Amino acid sequence: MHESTPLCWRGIWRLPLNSHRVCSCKWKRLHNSVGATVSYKNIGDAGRELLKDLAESGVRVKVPTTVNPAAIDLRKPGSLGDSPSFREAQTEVLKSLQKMGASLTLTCTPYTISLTRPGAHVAWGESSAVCFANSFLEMYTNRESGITSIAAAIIGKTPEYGMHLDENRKPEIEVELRYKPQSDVEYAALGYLIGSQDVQVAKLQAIEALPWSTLKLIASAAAASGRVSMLTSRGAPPHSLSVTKQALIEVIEALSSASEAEVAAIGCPHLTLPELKQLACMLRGRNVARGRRIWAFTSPKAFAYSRELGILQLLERAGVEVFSGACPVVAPIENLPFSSIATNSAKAAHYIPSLSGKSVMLVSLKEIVQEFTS
Amino acid sequence: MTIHGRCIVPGKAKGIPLVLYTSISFLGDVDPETGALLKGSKAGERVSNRILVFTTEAGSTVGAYIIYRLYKRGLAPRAMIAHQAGSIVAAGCALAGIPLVDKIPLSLFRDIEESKLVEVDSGQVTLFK
Repeated sequence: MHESTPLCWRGIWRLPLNSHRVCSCKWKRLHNSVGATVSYKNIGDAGRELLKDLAESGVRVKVPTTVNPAAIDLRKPGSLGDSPSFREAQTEVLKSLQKMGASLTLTCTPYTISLTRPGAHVAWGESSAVCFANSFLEMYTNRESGITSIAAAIIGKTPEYGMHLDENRKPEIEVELRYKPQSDVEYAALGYLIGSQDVQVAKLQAIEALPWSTLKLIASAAAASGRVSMLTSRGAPPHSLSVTKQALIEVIEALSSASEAEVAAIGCPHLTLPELKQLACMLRGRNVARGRRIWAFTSPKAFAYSRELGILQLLERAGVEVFSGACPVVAPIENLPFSSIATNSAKAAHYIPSLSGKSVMLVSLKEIVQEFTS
Repeated sequence: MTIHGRCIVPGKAKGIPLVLYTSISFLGDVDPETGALLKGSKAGERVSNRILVFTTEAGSTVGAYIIYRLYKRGLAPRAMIAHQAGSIVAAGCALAGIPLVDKIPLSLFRDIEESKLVEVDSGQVTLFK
């Protein structure tokens, strides 16, 4: 860091706290943090430079810190549209974070990495994981930006406001299902619909009974279309939202701009080990069809386990390309010569058209397997 | 003339105003290499060493890094004045130590623009005709 930099980490929260006397407010000690500042495509040279300056100045994180997915999988050069200079820049970002003491977990599912402890206050900078942690893991976190999550990791604290306070963790609306969603993509659409209600906390009866794979799709969609930070089955909210089958179909149609796709991307959020196993089972006896591609995104940790267990080999033999520590939303896929992408993630469907100009087909995992393999 | 706003990043700075009657997205609207505005009616003018005035913020959170980058190259505004600041500009100004004040009424933007010099001092804006 060059000498005159007046870095004031606490000052970063002045606006959300509505106070320039941030030093006198209450602070929560953190259990851990997740830095969102990772994809070179997102943070660009400005972010790369800040992280490099920090790392070189000797700044270190005070609490266990994991990081979000990178833009690309460095083991598979060029496969997600990355050039040599892009890879070099992405590598430098990762090195800076590592030098600051963060562990390169490279996943948007930090709750699969032993960072979970009920009652813990954390500062996570990944909106889908924030919603997941507040909702299903009894953890406390605000939606941090790249800068605030890094700042929180460096000082080991975060201001006690927002979702760290019980009074803000009460639902504002109750979601009443007039129709029970029948597939992963319908649940993703439900999450998206909840997010579009402009609320921070929503109630959905018996939500905890759903499997993790479904909860990931709901939480990530709700956090992408709006500012939802928590879903809960408790409380008596003043308003309600009635959800019909028609409403879910309309969400899926609104997010689908293509009716055909060359590439299918699954794993937004990252596929867990059980999900990789399930995918391998679905693909038994089938192969990715000629002219089609299936991309599966997972964390380096689940990738390593799946290789040990032979699941990775099953997937690769069926023709699936498995990416470790990368993300279909922030990869530079605008450089690849295909026009549309299929996904079962409403979050991916929300971001991909604006971030990489591809059109999207939002369909269930079952339909992807049927359409893309034979 | 003195206007009282909300102090978001404290500090004192004086300079020539550059008033945008629009929002600003530091990612996309400002060239991080030169400090020049890339869009809008003031395109081509540089934000560097000016007192930058805008309505509100827009766009990506990466804008905060851009403010830091401008600052490091000596191309940042001396202070910023907004009608309604957001967390992107607040974080960027905090990182770079650039005084930031908001809650300045839009009706006073014309007065600011017509001033030769503007001084920002921890939430207080003074205009020198």
